[in-house]
Amino acid sequence: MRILLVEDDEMIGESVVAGLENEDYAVDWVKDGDAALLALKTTPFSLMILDLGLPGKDGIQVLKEIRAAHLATPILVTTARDTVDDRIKGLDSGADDYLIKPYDLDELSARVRALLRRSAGRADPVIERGYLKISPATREVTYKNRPIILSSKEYALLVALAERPGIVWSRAMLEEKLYNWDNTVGSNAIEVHIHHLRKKLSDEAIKTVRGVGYLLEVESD
Amino acid sequence: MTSIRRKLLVTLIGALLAACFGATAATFFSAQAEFNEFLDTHLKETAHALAQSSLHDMRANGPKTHMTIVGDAPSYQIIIQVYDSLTNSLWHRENSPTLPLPDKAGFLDVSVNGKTWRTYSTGAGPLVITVAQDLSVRTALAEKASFHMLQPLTLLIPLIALAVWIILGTGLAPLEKTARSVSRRSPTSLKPLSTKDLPLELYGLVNAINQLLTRLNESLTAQQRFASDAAHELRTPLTALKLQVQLAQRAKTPEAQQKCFVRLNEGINRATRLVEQLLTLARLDPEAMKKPAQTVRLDLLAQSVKEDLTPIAQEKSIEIQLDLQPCAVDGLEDALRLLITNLTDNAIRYTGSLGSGHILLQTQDQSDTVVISVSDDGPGIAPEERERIFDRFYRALGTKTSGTGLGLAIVKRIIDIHHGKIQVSDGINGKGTAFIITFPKLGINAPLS
Repeated sequence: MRILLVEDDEMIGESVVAGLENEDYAVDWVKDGDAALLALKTTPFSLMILDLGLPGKDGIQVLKEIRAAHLATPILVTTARDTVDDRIKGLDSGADDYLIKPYDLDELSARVRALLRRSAGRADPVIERGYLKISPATREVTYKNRPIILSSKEYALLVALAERPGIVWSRAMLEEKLYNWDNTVGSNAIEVHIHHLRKKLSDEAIKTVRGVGYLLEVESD
Repeated sequence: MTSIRRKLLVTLIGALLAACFGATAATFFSAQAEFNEFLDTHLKETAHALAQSSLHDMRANGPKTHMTIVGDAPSYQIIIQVYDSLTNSLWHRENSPTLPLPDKAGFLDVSVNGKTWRTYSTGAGPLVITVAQDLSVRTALAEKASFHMLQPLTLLIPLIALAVWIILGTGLAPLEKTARSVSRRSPTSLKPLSTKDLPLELYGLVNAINQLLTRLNESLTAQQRFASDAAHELRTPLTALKLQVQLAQRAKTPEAQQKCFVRLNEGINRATRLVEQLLTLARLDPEAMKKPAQTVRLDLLAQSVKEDLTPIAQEKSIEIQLDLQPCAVDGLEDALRLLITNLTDNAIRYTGSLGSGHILLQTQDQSDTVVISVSDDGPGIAPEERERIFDRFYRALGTKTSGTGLGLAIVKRIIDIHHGKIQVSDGINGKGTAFIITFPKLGINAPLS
């Protein structure tokens, strides 16, 4: 899952990036509204975390411009402004959720998970595809009731494939989901991770659609 | 507590009573004088008339008619006494006192048995006729006359008091109405009082109160905004601290944890600086009111600030240059030092990392103003941002340094206290930024324009 963080404060930015990367998200960090708009338009982010107190163009303005450009990315707003009016203004300007500073890293990740789940159209916090069960809150994966130990990239890849059923993912799309701008991606990195996943689950779980990409198809009872 | 209404009533009624008694006393004395004159004339005329008639009687009937004269006493409680020098006999009514024989004709006041008598004596042949009147009769008459005057006035006083009480009540009603509207309002309401239907005398007072309320409201709003801004602004470093603590807790290696602690310490320093800056800003105004202004040499201050900041500047290979003319302004030395320090420190922090930079401190003495400027050749501030940089907590776009956003707000406040002006323009050789501050030489003592 790739997340765009818009935060002008160095120390907060670094901490949030570190915290989210610990949870296997690929995070890109920009420090002002214009950079955020540009990033959203060029990269398919699963979620954006937006600080409202930005230098230059303020956060509410950025929100409005994003929604005016018909970008549907879920947006979690973080701000020091805590009045009801402020929150209403934020939500009405296009935010999906609201987090007041100083916030808790755990709460931030919980809200990120909830937003990702809702944007994928799921109500159930557990992703269930046949014999495969993924619990994003604990990052536990079971296949046929057997716990599976995955590396962080393998986990991120599996979640990406499982999030929306029946979608064929190209290698480029998966790369964009898994790696931020700072990572240089090896040409066969995705293939390697797919290979490992097949070994840990089963060969049939991930199908290769020739010339298009990969499709997760886990049989059930 | 004094009541205007009661005080006015008491004073008015007191004055009225005094006037009444004054008038009564005046009436008494003037009546007494009138009566004296009138009754003296009466005494004299009576004596002469008696003398005429007794001479006539004596010529016609011979003596022995004294009894007739004495018995024929006229009104006004007059007594008559006849002395016959031929027979050395004294005639008067039985119950009348015996008056001493007069030693001369005309008016005399004589005391007999504790009473004072006014007498008039005249001769008629061998007879000495004395007509006398008790003086207390006259006093009683004057008292009666003045009492007649006092009576209606005394009856009127309670009526006047009532009327005055009611009139004062009506007249002071707007005052009570205003007082009620003040006492009814909530302590947080600083809305102006209504001046509708107010009498002229009260209008000035209410207007003055309203002006005070307006000023209070402004300063209260400013303080509330400041407190709210400050609280919000403190949340940013607190967020950073909280996140660092959580990262430290999750750190998998001691090295990662150590790194978090270093960052945590930086965060605490930053929060501390923010709090210090907030305190500086909050203390500026009360200090300006409290401390006496002194003559401050800006050129010497600039020299000293340069010496203080040179080590920091050298770390970033920035050279601080001076171009100083001796000049002075009336003001607060610490505040003015802070002003120059903040601007120079800003210049150092925002200039660096582009290789060798320059900062120029200049002072100029002009006829009735002094000018101090801090210029640099750093990245500069976009013209559209130049107005906003003095706002509290405003930080220009793309600023990597983690400032508090208060440095320039403090600068602005110090300039305002000294009635100066600040202008932002291009810096050295058209690059960077120049902050040009103009102070009236009177500085803090300058009259408000």
